[in-house]
Amino acid sequence: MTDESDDTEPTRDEAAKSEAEKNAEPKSEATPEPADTDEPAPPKRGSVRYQDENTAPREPTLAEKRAMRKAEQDDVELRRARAEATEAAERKAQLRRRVMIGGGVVVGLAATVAIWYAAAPSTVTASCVDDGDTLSSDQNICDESYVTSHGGHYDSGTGFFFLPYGGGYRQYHYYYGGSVDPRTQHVSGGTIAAPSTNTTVKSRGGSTIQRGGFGVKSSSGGSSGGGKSGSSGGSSGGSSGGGKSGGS
Amino acid sequence: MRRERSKPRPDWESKVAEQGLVFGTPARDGTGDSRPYWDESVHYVFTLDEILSLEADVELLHSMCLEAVDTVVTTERYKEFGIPEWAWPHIAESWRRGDPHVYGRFDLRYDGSGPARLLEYNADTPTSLLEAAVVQWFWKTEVFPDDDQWNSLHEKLVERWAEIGEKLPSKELHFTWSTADPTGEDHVTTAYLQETAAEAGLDTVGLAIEEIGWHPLLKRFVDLEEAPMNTVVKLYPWEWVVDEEFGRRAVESLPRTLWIEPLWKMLLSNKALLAVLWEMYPGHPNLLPAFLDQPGLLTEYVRKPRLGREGANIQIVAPGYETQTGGVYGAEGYVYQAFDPLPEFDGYRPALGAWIVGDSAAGLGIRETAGLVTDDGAAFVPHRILES
Repeated sequence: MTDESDDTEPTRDEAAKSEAEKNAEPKSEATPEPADTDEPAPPKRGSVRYQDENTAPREPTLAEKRAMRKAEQDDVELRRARAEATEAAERKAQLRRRVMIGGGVVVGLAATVAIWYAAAPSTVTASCVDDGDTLSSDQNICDESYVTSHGGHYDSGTGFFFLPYGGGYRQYHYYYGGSVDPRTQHVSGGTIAAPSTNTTVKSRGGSTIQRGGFGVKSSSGGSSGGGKSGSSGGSSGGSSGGGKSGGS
Repeated sequence: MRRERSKPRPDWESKVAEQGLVFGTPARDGTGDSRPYWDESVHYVFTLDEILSLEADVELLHSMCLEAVDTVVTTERYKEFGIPEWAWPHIAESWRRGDPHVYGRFDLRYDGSGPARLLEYNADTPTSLLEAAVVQWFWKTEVFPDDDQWNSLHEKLVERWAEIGEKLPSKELHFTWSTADPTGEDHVTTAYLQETAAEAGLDTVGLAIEEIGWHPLLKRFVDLEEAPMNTVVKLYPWEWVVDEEFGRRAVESLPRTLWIEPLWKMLLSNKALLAVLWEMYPGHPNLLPAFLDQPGLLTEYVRKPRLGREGANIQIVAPGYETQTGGVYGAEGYVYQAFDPLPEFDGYRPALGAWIVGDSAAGLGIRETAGLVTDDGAAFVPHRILES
C-alpha cells in the first residue's frame, strides 16, 4: 500500500512503459542474454530508480512482521524504538518529495546524475547542536513542539531552542553545513545563519533503523527521517559535506 | 605507441558534460598551470599489435592476481596486508564461495616496446570508467571515425551483469556511492554502472551509502524503504567499510547481503599484492620487483602505502628523481617497488589504465601527468588504434 503510493514508484512504471514502446515486437520475458556487440538489444531492460532521504518505508511483509514481533518479545528496549519508528515514518511520509526523474532513461543516466553536480542547488545539512556547537545526542530537540512538550520554549527571533536542564535552561540551535568531528561530535566549518532560499536544508533525524554506519556522516543520528525541511525551499539533490571520495 | 595532437572539437566542453563528465578536478601541466581534466587536444595512437599484446598481458596479470589471492587465503597471509584479524575467515569464505566480481583497472607502465609492467591493481573501487567507456568512444567516433579503439567496456559490463545476475540472491541490486564526494565522480560512476546493470535486465535502486540502514530486529541491511538489501554494489573501499560502524555487520552478514566488488578483492586492491606477486612469479616480465616493509636489494625504488589512493604518499628514491607526494595514507605500512619511470612523450608521462570486466580485458584509459606520479593532477587523454 505505502509501497504503491511511493513517489519512486512512477519511475519504475515509466521505465516499463518506455521499454514497451521501444520493443515494438513482442519478446519473451526470459533471462537476458549477454548483449552482442553488433546488436545491442537485450531482451528485457531492468529498472532504475533512486531513493533519498524522502523515501518512505514500505509496509513490512507478514514474515517480517512475525520475525520482528518475535525479536521484540526478546527485547523490551527495542519495542519502544519500534513505536518511535512508526512515528518517524509518519513524519517522513509528510515530507515525501520526488527528487529525480531517473527511470526510463535508456542512455545517459550517468549524464542525468552529472547535471546535479554541474548545476546543483546546494544542499546543506542542518545539525542540532548545543551552545558549545557540539552535536546534540538527540536531533529531535531542535523542534518547537519537542521543546514545548518538554517544558522548554523556542525563540523565533534568535532561532534558539531552550530545554530545561538542571534548574535552568540549556540552549540548542541549528548549525548549517560544516563537518562533524567523529570523536568530539563538535561541528565546525559551517554557519549558524540559515542559508539562502535556493539551498535545500536537510536535517539529521531519528529512526529505529540505524543509518549512517557507513561513510563520513556523523553516526549519532541517521540522516533520514523527520525533522525540519527548512526555512528555505528548493529542490534536493547533489551532495553535502566532506570531500572523501571512494573511487580510485 | 605515439602521442599526437589534434584540434579539440569546438563544443567539446558541452559534449563531454552531456555525456556525464562534469567532475574532473582540473589537471596540471608541467609548469603547474591548470589543464582540463579531459584533454582531447592530445591523444595516443596505438597499432593493433600493441593493443593485442597489452590485452594478453592484462589477462595474464589478472589470472596471476587470482592465483595470488588463492595463495594468500591458503597460507593465511592477511597480516601482511594489514587486514584486521576478525575479517580473515570471512575473506577466505568470500573467496571459496566465489562471490562474484565485476570489474577492475590495472595501472600499467608501457611505452610501446616490451611488456607492460604492473604498477598497481585498482580492483575494488576503480573510477575513470565513464571517461574510458563513453566519453573517449564518442570522441573517436566523431574525430577519427575510421579508426578503432580498445573499448568494449560498455558491452562487457552489460554482459557481465547478465552473467552474474544468475548467481545473485535476488534480481534487485542496490547501487551506492558516498555523498561525501562533492565532485559527483563517485555518484556518476555508480549511475553508469547502474545503467549497465539495468541494460542487462537487473532491477536497480540507487542510494547513498550513508543511507544504508541496519534493521536491529531482523539483523540485516535495509534500504530507505526498509526493504532488505540482498546485493549491494559499492563504490567505497572495503578497507574503509571494515573500519566503520557497520563494517562488522557488512562482513559478518555475508552472503545474506552480498557485496560487489566482493570482500576477497581486499587482497587485490592492496599494494602488498605486488610483493606477493613478485614472490610467486620472480622475474616475471609483467612485474616489477616489490617487497614488503623494506626495499630489500632495491637501490632505486618507489615507496607506496599499502592502501594509498590517487598517488598520495608516494616516495621515489632514485638519483635525480627524488619525489614525494603528500597525503593521509601510510599508517598501514608501505610496499617498496623497483623504480621504473613512466615513459615520457613531449614532456608528459602516460600511465595506462587497462580495464578488466569479469575475467576479460575490456578497454583502455590513459591518464597523463607532467610528473612521475599519476596523482589527482593527471589529465585523461583519449586514444585510438590505427586501422591498418
